[in-house]
Amino acid sequence: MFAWRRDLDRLVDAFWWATVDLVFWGLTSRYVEQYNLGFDIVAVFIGGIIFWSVIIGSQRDINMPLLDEAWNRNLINLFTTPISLVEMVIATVLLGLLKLTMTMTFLSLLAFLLYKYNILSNGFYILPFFANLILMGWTVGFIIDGLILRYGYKIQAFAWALIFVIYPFAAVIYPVGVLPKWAQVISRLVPASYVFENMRRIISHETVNFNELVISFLLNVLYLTLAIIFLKRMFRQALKLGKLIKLN
Amino acid sequence: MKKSIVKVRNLTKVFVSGKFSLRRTKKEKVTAVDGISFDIHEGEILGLLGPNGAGKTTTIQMILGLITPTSGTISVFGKNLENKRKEILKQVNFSSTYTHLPWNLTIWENLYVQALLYAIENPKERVAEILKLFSLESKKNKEVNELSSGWTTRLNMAKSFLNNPRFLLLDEPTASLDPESAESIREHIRKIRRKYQTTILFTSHNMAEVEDICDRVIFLNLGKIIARDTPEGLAKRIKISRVEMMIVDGLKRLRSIVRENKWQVQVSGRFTTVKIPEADIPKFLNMLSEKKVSYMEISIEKPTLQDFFLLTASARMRPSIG
Repeated sequence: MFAWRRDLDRLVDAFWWATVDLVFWGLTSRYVEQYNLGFDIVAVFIGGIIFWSVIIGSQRDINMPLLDEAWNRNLINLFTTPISLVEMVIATVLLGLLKLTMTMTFLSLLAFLLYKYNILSNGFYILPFFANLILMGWTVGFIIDGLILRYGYKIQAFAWALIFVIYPFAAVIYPVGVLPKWAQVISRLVPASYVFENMRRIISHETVNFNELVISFLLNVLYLTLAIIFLKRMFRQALKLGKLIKLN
Repeated sequence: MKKSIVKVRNLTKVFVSGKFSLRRTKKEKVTAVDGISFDIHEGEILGLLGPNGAGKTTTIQMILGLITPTSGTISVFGKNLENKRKEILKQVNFSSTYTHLPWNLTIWENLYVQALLYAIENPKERVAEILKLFSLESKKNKEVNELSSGWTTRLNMAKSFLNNPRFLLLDEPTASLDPESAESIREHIRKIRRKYQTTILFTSHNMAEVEDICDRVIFLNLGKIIARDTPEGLAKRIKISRVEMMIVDGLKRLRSIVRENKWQVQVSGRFTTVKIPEADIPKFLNMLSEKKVSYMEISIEKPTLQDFFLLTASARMRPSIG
C-alpha cells in the first residue's frame, strides 16, 4: 500500500490501460453502431471491455506482487519471515480486491460519462458476474505465479500470454454460437463465457440463465482449487530446486 | 558448556539440473552440501568459511528454509525446521548484501512493514527503537533508492534486528562496503551481541573480519566440513611464517640459502618475503649473518586465518585437516 502512493507503474496499471481499452473499443462500437444491428452494440462492447478488465485486473493483481518482490530482490526477505504461502496469497488477494474495486469504480464512472453505459443496469447479476470473473482471473494468476516460481523469468512471456489464449473462447464481444463447433466445446469450459453470454442477454432484454452462472461458478471453484494445488506444488519444487533464490 | 540452539545433522543437498534435448533429457547432479553436521551454541558467533562454491550459501539457505535439503535434519531451538518453520522463523532473522528491501519505500515504511510481518507488538515503537539503535533516525524518510550502499547495508542490518532474534544469519554483511562503513557495521554487530547475547551465523570473505568477530569457525570445501576451530586455532595449523625484510646487500646469497633449505622467497619492490616454518626462523637469521646478507626493516608475521584459507582453498583439500 505504501508503494501505491508513489509508484507511477501501479497507477498506470490501475487506471490508464483500462481507460485506453474503454475509449478505443467505445469509439469502435460507435462506428459499428451505424450499421444498426438491432441491439445496443455500444453496451455490448463497453460491458465486454469492463468485465474483461475484471479478469485481467484480478490476474495481474495476483502476479504483480510476486514479480515486484523478485525485481526488488526482496523475495528472500519475505520468505524468511514467519509468513506462510497461504497468508501471502490471502494478503495478495485482499490487496488485489481493493485495487480492483478502485479501478472498476473509476472505469464504470468513465463509461457512464463517455458512453452512457450504466454497469448497474445489470442489476443483482453484477455480483455473480464480478465474482465469477474475479475467480477466473485469480485462477490464471495462480497458474502464472506457479510457473514463474518454478521456471523463473524465462517463462514470463508465455505466462503473460496465457490469458489471451483464453480470450477468443471467453466470447467477450461475440456470442459463443458464432464460434466453430470445436471452439464452442472449449468455450463451454471457460467460466467467463457464461458471464458474457448473460451480460448480452441483459442488454437485449432477455431472461438471464441463472443455471449457467452456477455452472460458471462450479467450474471456477474446480479450476481455482486445481490452480492452488498447482501453485503449492510449484512452490515446493522451487524450494527443492533452489529456484526461489535464483528468482531473487 | 553452553547449549546448542542450532543442530545440523548429516545435511546434504544435491541439485539436479535437466538439460532438455530431443533425444533424451540429460540430468546432471551437483552435490552442493555433502553430509555436514555441526552445532551452534547459544550466544556464540560462528563463522562459515570457504571458497566460492564451497556450500556456505546453500547451507544458510537450508537453515532459513529457502531450500529443501535432499537429506539430513536441521533443528533450531530444539524444533525441527521441516514442520515448525513458522514458529522458528519468528525468532530468527537474516541479512545479506545480496537481498534488498523494496527500493520505492522509505526506511521507516520498510521497517514498519517488516515489523508487521513478524507480528511485533507495538510495531511503531519498535521501529523507533531500531532507528535509534542503528543511527537511522535522520534518514528515516528517505527512499531506499536514495541510499548509499553503506546506508542500505545498515538498513538491512536494522531490519534483521527488528524482531530481536535469538538466532541471526548474516551472509557477507559487509561485502561491497568501504573499510569505514564495514567497521561501523562490525561495531553494530559487536554492540548488539553484547546487549542481547544473540547467536549469529556469519559468512564473509574478509578473513580479518572473521578473526575479529567470530568465536568459532567452520571451514567448508566442496560441500564438506574440512576444519572447525577458533580462528586462532585454524591459523595455528599453518606452520609457515612470513619473514619480510629490505635487503641492502646479498640478495643472490639469500636466494641460495632459501633454495638449499627448500623455503620460498618472493621479491616485491624493495621488500623480500621468505615463507618459512616458524621453528626454522632462528636458523634462517643465523644463516643470513653467516653469509653476510645485510638487511633492514625486518618483520616476522605469524600465520593468519587468511593463510589457512588460501592454503586450503587452493589445495582443494579433502577432509584431512582437523
